[in-house]
Amino acid sequence: MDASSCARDAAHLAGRVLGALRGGSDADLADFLDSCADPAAGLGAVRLVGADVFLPHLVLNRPLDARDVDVVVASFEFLSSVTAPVTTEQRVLAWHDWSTARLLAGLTGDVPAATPEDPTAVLGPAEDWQRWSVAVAQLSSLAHPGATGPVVDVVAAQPLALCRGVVRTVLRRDFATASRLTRWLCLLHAAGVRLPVDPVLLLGHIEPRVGAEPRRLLDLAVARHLVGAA
Amino acid sequence: MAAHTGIRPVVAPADIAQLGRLVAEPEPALADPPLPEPNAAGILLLLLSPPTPKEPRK
Amino acid sequence: MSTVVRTAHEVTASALGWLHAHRELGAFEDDATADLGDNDSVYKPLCELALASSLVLREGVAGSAELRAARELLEFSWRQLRAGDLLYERQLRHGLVTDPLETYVHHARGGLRHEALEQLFEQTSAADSITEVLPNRRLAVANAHRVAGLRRDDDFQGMLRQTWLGRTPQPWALDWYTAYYMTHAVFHVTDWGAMPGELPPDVVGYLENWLPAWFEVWAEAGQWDLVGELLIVGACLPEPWCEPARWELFAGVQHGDGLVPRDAEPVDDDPWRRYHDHQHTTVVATIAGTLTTSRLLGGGT
Repeated sequence: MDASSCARDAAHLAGRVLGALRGGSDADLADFLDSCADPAAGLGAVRLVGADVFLPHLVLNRPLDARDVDVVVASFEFLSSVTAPVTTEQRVLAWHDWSTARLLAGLTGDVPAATPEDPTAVLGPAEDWQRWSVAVAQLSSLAHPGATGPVVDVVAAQPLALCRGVVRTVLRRDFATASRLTRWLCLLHAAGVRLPVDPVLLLGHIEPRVGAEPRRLLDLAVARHLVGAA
Repeated sequence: MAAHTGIRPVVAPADIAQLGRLVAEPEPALADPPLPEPNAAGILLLLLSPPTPKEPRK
Repeated sequence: MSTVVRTAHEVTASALGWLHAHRELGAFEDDATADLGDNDSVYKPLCELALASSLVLREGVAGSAELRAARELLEFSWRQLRAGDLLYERQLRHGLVTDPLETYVHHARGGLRHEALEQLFEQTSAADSITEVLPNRRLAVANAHRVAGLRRDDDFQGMLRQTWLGRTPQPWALDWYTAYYMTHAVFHVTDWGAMPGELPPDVVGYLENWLPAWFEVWAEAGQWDLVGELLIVGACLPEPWCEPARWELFAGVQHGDGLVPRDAEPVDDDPWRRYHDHQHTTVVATIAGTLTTSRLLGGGT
């Protein structure tokens, strides 16, 4: 699988999801996959976008097409999940995949995926908020409307670490990481967690600065939806 | 028929590692924080600024 | 003794030693007049030197060699100011400027006084002969009046609310220049950590939340001068913020001779250049170390 093709396809797929969220036509995963020059990179892209492919179903209650389910299942068959993660990247991937599999199971009524190990293994201690928040950003696909689970619980218990992390990334002008963290922040806000920053003002600061990368625009669209629903 | 049906499960440690790297995207090493620069200091806009003083008449 | 106390104490001792050893590089070249020429080259650094020295003496937590160096530095700057006559002439000539008062109070704190100048300040203050300044600068003037013992009806809390900090903005709404304004609002409202209780609780909470984030951002950028000022702010809080790792980082950039570089750029070899480029940051380090040591030993409560 070619990494740059996979990333490019993921951007394309995220753009389709974003279009669906904005009221356009469905993301249509099967059609997306057919459009990919390299099906392997396309399936990798589905895994990379992960749980976010289900956003139109979560947010707009759009019906899930059986062909979409097939594509997600195929993406897991093509690249099997990490069952015993050792490195940080493997741990991030394990949680990322868990979120995808769990949402899929929720939408199809299948048996939920097994939960990975203790989230502190991937996040580290919140006292080290700088590193912790970068790990939280890597798990941004877990911060979707209605999200629950061990990672959500850990992040929700550390609003200050999260907010310090986002303030740091905004001041570094790393708006890609900032948009992923803002998504978490808005999830906490929607859940009624008191935050030391204003999530709406934060979104307003990041949106015009984040650029055009569809995956990051998707993060912000989710964040916008979360504050709208709060 | 969708192309994905032709893809068979494979054991591909290198591909999984690549996917892991894409998912766990690190933050950029180079930051661009606010630093001292002339244009950041703001421009004093005094609409009624006094004119440059003239030399007093002898 | 805690690790931070030892680190902060050593940073101060070393920084003060460097300032003392190179003080003559900060002297006026010729007899200065009330107009001072280039304010930033000698007059402002002398004022900062006097400030740091006066705080070392005020806190009294340094060793005897450091206290002696601080005393000599204060006397040095006082001599440069012709025992206050220069400030007197400047205030007479330019009635609305506030720097003579702000410079004088550091010396007065250390017992170096000028009677005619104090009378002039009283007259100036009573007439409100004070130029219009930015809100954080207004706090600086108010604190100078307070330290000089000049009675005024200054409303410190009201003045603080006029500053950037007093509005507790969203914490990303900060740039390099405004970060300095923020630090100075804290310095002046607390009189350099002597009165941490002057900071209202919401401002204290705000600083506790965001100082660590700001520190990380500008430490990563190697902005050691600003980083040092953030450490001073930490020492001015009711519950001082002085994490060992942060202090180790700051101490780690100090050169063996005591110089603390202003940023991550190479330090010039030329002695004059070295002094004038890095004197301010070394002053900042002296103050940060002094106030941190003192607060951790129980001062400023």
